[in-house]
Amino acid sequence: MLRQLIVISISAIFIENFVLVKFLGICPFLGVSKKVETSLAMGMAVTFVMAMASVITWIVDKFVLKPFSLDYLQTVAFILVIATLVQLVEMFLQKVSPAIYNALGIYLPLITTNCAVLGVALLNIQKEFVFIQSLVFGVSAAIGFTLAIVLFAGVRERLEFSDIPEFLKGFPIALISAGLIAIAFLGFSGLKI
Amino acid sequence: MVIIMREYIKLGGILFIITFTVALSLGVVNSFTKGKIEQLAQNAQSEAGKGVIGDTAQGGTEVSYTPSGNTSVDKITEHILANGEKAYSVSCKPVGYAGAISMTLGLDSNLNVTGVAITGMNETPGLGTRAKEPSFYEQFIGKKEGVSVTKDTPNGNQIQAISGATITSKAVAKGVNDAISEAHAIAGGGN
Amino acid sequence: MNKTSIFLNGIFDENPTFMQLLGMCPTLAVTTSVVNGIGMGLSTTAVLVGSNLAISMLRKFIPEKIRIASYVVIIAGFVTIIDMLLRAYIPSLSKSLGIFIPLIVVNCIILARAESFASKNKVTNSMLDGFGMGFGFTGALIIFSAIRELIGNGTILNFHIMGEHYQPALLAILPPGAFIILGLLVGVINLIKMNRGKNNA
Repeated sequence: MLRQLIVISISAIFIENFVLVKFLGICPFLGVSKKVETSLAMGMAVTFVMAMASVITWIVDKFVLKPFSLDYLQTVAFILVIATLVQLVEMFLQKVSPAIYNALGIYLPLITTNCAVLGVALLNIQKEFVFIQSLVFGVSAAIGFTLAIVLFAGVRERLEFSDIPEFLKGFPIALISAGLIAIAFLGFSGLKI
Repeated sequence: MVIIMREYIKLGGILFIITFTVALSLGVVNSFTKGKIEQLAQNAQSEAGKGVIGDTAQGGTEVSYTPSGNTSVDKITEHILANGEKAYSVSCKPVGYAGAISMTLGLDSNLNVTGVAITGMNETPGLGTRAKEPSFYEQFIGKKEGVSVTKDTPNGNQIQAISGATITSKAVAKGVNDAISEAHAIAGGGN
Repeated sequence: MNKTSIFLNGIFDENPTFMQLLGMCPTLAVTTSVVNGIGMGLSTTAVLVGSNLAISMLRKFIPEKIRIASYVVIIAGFVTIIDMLLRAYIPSLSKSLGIFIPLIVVNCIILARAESFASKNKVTNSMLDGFGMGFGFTGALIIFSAIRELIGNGTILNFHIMGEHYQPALLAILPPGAFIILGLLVGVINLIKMNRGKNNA
């Protein structure tokens, strides 16, 4: 059991990194990654939301949706859970750490539309995980997201000082750099665990 | 305090009405599409079963089967062919590069592979998905237990991996090997 | 603003992919073939039109405080309908697009249009905006997936365009290729924008 959990974890962080391999969570990945500090803060907020979302959506699916054959309500139910969770995190951060709240700005409520959060909830059900596997998968996927976003922020901070042609500045060079990091992560696909 | 409560109740109420209406509409659409979706799934299964055994199959009886240990097999069906011989269709789900690959295998009474059908996969388009091409999976026809995957020209009980999709190729091979070995146990020591 | 300009706005001036840079997840993920690109584009358009329609009709009844939650539930409803219809009637597309069909609900384009247009405009205009943005998105997906499929597989819509001896550059249909090609594409568009600016100056 433990070995399986470790496999799930390493796969989610490296081999099937949510951002660089599965393309989930691109919007915040490109939007918040200008500085390493904000990226770290975003990563932690997303980790919390993804962990809680994995758990709660799993419970809702197991005890409400499946028993009553309401599988088709999965998308609606899950997105409601996520929207509520994000609202709560927003209220919490506003009271406890206004600095982080302001730094993340509009990207905090946008965690609701982060494909990675809904994605991980849906994948847990698709892969037929049990409770503890869903939790581990959710947390690991978020760690993978944070890893990608922080690495990327590091690269972008350096790019600020480089001489880039005008038409490539901003989005284009960011995407190309992300592509290069993605090639590096492609190397993990041969990992045998 | 009361005023705030009343506002929350009103907000919650409206959200509930919206959600309820949406859920109801979905229930209606679901009742229309459910039948078709289930039928598609069943068709896929039986097509796969027929394809791997050959059209001489006269239906089959599912063998009561408990997977032993680390196998990817989940169902074995025994068939009696038109000539009275036994054949098996085995469905298994080996884990490939991006999750489980659903496949069905046909075995003859000597537990040689007669057909392979890949019914579902999430593998990389253009790479792993080429496992669905006959030029790949037909390599398994006639093979016995213990198929291995090679990147060079295959000989004997080997098959050639898809270039750039070794993991997918090995997963399919594992499915084949698991199927044969589990069918072995059912057939009671075959040949 | 007249009806035609609303529609064309979504296709050119405020093209969701190239101008607004929204909806990146599906753009990068499903564009490994033109068929997938068209399928995703049209599915998203259907949801966009439906949700713009519903939200515009209900815009006077949805309280401001719960508007995001309400929009999201309505959008999820339309996405689920499209999901069920695809699984029943176009199962091959449903399988290729996979998890990205339910993920249409978090496609930033739809929520953005609901928030900035449908909640403030009449029903017909909102539907036109939905069509415009949807077709703009579809167009962008078609262009992008055509490039990726051509370079990465030598085909477009499964017709072999490149000659027999063309060795496909697999990287184009793998994740890194998506990032790099999109980056270059947006760079080219920036170049066009800059030159247009210079000509107008």
